[in-house]
Amino acid sequence: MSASVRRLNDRGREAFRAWLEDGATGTPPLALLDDPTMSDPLRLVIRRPQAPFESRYDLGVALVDLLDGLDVAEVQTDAGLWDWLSLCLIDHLCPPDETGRRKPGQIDRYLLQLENHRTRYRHLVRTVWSLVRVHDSAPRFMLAGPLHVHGEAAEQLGAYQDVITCKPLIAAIGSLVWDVERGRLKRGFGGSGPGSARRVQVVAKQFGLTYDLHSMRPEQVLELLPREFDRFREAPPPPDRRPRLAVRRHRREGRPEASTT
Amino acid sequence: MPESYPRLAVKFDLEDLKLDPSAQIVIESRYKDSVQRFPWGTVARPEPQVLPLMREVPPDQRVFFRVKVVEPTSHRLLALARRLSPVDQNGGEGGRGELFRVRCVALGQELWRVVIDEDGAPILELNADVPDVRSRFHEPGFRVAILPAAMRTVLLALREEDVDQEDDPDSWAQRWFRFAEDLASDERPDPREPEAMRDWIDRACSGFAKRFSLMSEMVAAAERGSEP
Repeated sequence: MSASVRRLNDRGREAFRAWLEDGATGTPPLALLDDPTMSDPLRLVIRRPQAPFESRYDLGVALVDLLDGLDVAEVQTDAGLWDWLSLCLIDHLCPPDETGRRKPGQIDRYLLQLENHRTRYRHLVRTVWSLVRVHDSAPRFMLAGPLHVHGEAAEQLGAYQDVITCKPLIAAIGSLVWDVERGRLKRGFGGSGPGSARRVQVVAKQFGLTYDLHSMRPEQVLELLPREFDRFREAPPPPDRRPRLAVRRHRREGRPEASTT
Repeated sequence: MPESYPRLAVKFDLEDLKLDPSAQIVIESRYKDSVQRFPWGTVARPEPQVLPLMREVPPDQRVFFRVKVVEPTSHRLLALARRLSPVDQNGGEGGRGELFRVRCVALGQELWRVVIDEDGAPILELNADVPDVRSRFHEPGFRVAILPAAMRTVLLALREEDVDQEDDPDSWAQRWFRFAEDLASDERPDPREPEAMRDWIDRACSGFAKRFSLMSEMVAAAERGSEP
């Protein structure tokens, strides 16, 4: 087996798809990885990622490092590359249980559907690379789980371009909901109630009509967040903080406001 | 590495907006799940602050832009333009006037497919394995076989996807619906009436084929081809 990353060609992607659609039974088609009729070499020699990885974040860090020499525009749209990496890591992305059975999730988790904006952020490999490349360590709170778990935070935030590309917002949310001491997400962020990941995209969309969130510092974004997120704060915020006044001013002006409905 | 990335050049005409001259301008290029930001000076002096190379956009791909004018202290938006399409060096429309974008991709054993991208833009994909497929797409046999069916696919998709949430009269969905209304000679029915909607779409597709004489052209071409 070669030690270099390659990319699946159309035949290779179809063969991988067929195995997944058949329920991912039996031995994974790992021969595709090096079969010259099913995969092609990259222009650069890139070392294969060395599993296991403790978390999705660790995989993202490794991929950003490994793929650093490639052109970003090419890499992010190269479905053959991402699907090759999926297959290469399939025992971790779709692990067999003690009886050897695998339970593959939606096929978009392993095969990149680049044109489908509703599902492409679910690709288990490309997404971790993309998040770590853009946000560095800030998205750790979304990527704390094992490689096969997409996670509610990644699902809810990843679905919206305005949210998932906004560095100050992701940094702010990460600092708010990531329990550094315990190394895990604070309780309640993954649900659907007030202050949850689902609410982040609603709130961000509303504030995005009034503010350029991208140009703010994470602390400024934190100050903007409505009270429903206060339960994640370490210390109660000062009662007279300015952004609260800003929100009230929006109400007077008839601008969108952050609601919890 | 690509030898050259798409380079961004912008002409501003902000005078009518009476904006604070010290307000900052930012341009965002948006391609799939990637956003690149280009600080572009102030209203008084709009000029790029960094080399405006779109390193995250593959060549020949459609990209949309936002232009933001921002009050620098509060970060409030003073002005915002969304869904801007670029023009090329020759002043071409960059595709905004068209109804379909066409691109050639690997489609396995399928000849064509329609996808709707995140901006609501319908894209007609042709199988790149067909030799000279872009030219052949203009042949009458291809046109009559693909275009009405592709149009039907787009209208059904736009009907179902509610892509026009931004209520933009120049959105892809609105422009398609206006085009179809013209072809069907009838207003778009209430989306909650699926039968009426399907009938309206059928009439629009039929009207399209009729307006461009797709079948007549195909028959004529076939007759020419069968002549000795």
